[in-house]
Amino acid sequence: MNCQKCQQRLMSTERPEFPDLKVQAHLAICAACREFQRNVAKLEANVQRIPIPPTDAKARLVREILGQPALPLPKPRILRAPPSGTPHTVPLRQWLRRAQWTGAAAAAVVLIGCGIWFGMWLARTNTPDGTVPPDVAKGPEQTSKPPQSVDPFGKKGTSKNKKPGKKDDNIAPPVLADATPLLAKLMACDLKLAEAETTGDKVKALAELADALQMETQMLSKSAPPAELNKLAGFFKKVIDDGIVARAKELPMGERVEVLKDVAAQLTKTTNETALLAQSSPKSAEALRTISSAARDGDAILQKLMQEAAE
Amino acid sequence: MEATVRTVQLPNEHVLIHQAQHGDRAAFAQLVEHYWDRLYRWLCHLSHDRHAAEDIAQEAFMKALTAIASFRTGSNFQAWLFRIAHNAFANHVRARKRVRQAFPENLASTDQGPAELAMNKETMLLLARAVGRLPTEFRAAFLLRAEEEMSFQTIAEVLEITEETARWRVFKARQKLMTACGFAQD
Repeated sequence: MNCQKCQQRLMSTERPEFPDLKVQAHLAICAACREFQRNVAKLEANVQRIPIPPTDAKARLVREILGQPALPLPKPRILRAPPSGTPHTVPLRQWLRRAQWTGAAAAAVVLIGCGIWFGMWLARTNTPDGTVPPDVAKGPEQTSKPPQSVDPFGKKGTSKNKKPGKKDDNIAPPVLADATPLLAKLMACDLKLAEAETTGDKVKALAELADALQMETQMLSKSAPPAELNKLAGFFKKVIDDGIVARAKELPMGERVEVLKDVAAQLTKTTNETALLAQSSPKSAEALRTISSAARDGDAILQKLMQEAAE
Repeated sequence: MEATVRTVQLPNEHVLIHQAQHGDRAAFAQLVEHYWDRLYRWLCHLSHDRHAAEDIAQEAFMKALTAIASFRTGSNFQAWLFRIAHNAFANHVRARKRVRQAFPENLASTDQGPAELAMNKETMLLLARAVGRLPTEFRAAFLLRAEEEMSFQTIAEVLEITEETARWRVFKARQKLMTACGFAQD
């Protein structure tokens, strides 16, 4: 065996450090080929040391699979619980009184629409006697996990809510935060919008609202009927078109990049995520594509606005 | 005779798969915990795009979860999962042209493995760039061999090619990398 043949065999074997007997015999008498063998081994050992960017996507996916809130919102937010005895609708009313701008009107439509949508959804999820349907109760985490509306993989979660109007003294009145994660998020967005003083803050609050809507659509994509997903997608589009984009155009040049940078990044991510998910979820593809294209179009406008500000 | 390859499967993997097939999502989450880093790393190398790698890995796991009932007990779960990811990657490539991300200049200095096998930073950079420049099909096969220590037969299964083609791709990748790193001898 010559050196060329030996080296070719080293490179074509599964494990160059354990060559066959003929190659071993050649290696025993050839220092150059032993060096070559060491270098092949070195090459493969060092490929494993090439750094790759870190990611937190694994944690998010595991949370989704376990049925916990799928994707944490970008920033930790304090969900202010309404004071006891205060109707949950007060912040919404306060906000509606203050709403004098089109973006807020768009968000109002979405909030009300989502409220109606979720009312219908919950009514359907619960059986007439307010108990959990048998197919819903099957999940292994049923007794240990907090109640959820529906998980992203097609199983409906448990819900403590009784059907509206049903009397039962043993059951505590429904707490909004427990009702559905989306409603809790919508309330948080509502509070933020009410507190927003500047256009930038309003854009950010609307971006959170849009994010909550698209996340919910993603989570429900495997289980909810397409028509209902389409409604959620419609709400999302409205928040983007009439809310974020409309507000963004009113931002002062000096604030545009700072405010819109994160929102645009969020929309890029939404575009990609929903487009990918649409490929694997034919039933919900229409809604997901609506979200994807609304996010893409919104992103394009925001990029343009930022570019204008940069010039 | 060629040595056996390192086994990467979890000790109780077949139990977890069985539980996942019966709807136990916590069991599937353990599989995700075990295989995510490997799959994400491979996809990062293939796509040169962290976000694409995240998306494809996520999509692959979601597809795997959806199709876990159809997974044949006793077959190689890692190969099955990587094949799903490879198909998703192929779809991704077809769907869009992504901008290649530059290789990070600040290489990790953590040494893994025997000191005599460690490369200096410059050679590491050369290697990383050379891996990035390999044709995708060579890179995919080579990384499955070098990082996952898969046999040629398993690589063939993942990439849906013949075992001989898998061997050829790994050989060509090694040949190119040896040249790029200045290890080749004339």
